[in-house]
Amino acid sequence: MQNHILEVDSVSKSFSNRPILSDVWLRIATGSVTGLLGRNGSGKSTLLRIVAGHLAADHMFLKIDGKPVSTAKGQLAYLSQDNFIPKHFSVGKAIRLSLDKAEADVFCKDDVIRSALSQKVGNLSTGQRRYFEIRLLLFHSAHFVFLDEPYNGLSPMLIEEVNRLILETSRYKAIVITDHDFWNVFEVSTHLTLMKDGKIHHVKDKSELIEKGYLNQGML
Amino acid sequence: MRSFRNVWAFYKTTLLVNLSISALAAVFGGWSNFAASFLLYGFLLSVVLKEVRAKSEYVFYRNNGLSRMQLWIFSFLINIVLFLAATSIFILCKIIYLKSTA
Repeated sequence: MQNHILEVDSVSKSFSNRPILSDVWLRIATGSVTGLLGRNGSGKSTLLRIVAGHLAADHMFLKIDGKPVSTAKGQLAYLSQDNFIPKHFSVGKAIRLSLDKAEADVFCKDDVIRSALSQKVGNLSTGQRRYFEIRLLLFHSAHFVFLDEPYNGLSPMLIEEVNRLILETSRYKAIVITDHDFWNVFEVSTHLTLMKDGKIHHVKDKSELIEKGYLNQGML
Repeated sequence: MRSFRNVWAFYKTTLLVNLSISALAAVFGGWSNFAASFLLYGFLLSVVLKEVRAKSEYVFYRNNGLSRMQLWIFSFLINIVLFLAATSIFILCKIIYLKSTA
């Protein structure tokens, strides 16, 4: 299986002269799940939105498989914090627009999805809709997947299924996950990083999260 | 082919607003106003409305390989093609009707 690498370097972004990201570097490779942790407003979502092409950076170098590129469009699937599938689409239509026939057949072998195929996306429950979006992106042909707060609104059983899917698909994809539900992020991540003061800190041991002020003593 | 289906799905969401605005324009200014609205400001307003009400939907299309700019440009082109096709059919029907009643 071919290995794919996405690397961003020198990412900087300011809002109203307030720096949010400064000189951020991140490298992800297929076969890995990177847990991106950080306090509210630390710039996690901003970084994901920039790399996914939904927000312009003040400065950024992007490389895919060692080649400089201007955008990762078509190679990166991004789960935004807000629901993104048009709510007037049926579940079946959203699948047909996103996946090839063979991919769609495998995708639909799921009780939650199969029971909702003819329903409008807007009529799904919060958890069903989130689960549908996450599953769709993990089945997408993109080599890189960014998940911004995937566990929002999911029931414990769906969280378990999402974690199983993340672990399964990470064998041939590079996944970045950010969520305040840090226990689940720990469960699926092969690498941990912490956003603090607009920079990325690579975390070797979870205890560093206490040292760096992300978690309090006794939270681990 | 899947890219085209995505563009078409996006275009259809602009059509209702565009047609409504253009129909209103036709009431006040006839065919030429309808044409100007459908091809230009009705379409632009429908895109602006999408920007305000359904901005997050662009994530769906970008995940499927289409940027916002590509969606706008391709939808604009589809709009022109559909307008020209509809106008041609209308003129053709008119000619056939006139010939049959002459």
